[in-house]
Amino acid sequence: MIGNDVVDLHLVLKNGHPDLQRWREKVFTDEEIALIEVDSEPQELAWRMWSMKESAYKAHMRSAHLYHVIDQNHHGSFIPKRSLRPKRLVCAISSNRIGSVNVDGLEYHTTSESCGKFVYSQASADRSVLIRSKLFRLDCTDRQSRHHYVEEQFLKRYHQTLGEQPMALAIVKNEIGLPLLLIDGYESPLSFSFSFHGAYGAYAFQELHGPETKSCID
Amino acid sequence: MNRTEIIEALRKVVKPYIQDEEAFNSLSEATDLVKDLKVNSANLVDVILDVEDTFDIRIEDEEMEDMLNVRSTIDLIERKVNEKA
Repeated sequence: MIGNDVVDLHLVLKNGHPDLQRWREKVFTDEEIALIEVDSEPQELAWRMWSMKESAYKAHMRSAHLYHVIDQNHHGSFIPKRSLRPKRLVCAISSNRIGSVNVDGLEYHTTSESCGKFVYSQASADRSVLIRSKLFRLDCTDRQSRHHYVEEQFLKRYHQTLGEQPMALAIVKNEIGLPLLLIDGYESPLSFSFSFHGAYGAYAFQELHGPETKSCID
Repeated sequence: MNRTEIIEALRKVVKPYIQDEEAFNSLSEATDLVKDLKVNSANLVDVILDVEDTFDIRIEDEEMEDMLNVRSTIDLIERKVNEKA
């Protein structure tokens, strides 16, 4: 299961935060705050950890959804529920790129890249999976057209992996807002994720075979 | 403070963070902050801080979970404000 998350650093850093310390205390554990405070780039690390948490949360919601689908006959045993509790997602940092997020005892591996303009993280429940991902700088300001553009790019890219056979692909959202892929009207178990923030939008999907592609800006 | 007063104050709190004007204009107890108002997740934390300041209450970590839709947010604020009184 995978998830992704982009943070537009320009957007979050341009005005600063009127109450940065309180904001951090709502989002980060004491250990995470200690890491941020000793880092040479505290803001960047804070937003990296935020994007790690967000990407892991999306991967976690994807797992919850798939288990729920598989487990429909035992209705109620594991119903995915949205939650807003960033401290329940606990970050560990291994290097500039590599980290992990623990969510209720489940570990998600993360890779993050940062270039000063944005931070982009991807999380995966399984370290060995390959993630195909693309990050876009979006010029249109309208929220719907931005989402539409990235979704279209994802569908086009994913359609290529399906081979010659033309199939009808569509994206719908479930009751917790998780995007689902429909192939010829049937829900695909594909693990994928979208993220939008400020001037950026990205898609990521889990691939079973093939080389890993790094995200890049179009 | 009754529910109508709370919802009016809450409307002012969320206004800077909403990304869907139409849903905001028809804001009701049934409105969802993420699905309807399209508040991004980083700004949800700002909503929580502003709710704390506006109503002079403190939202504990485990209570943040209730702040995804307007109805449960009002329930939480109402409870907290009454506890204080």
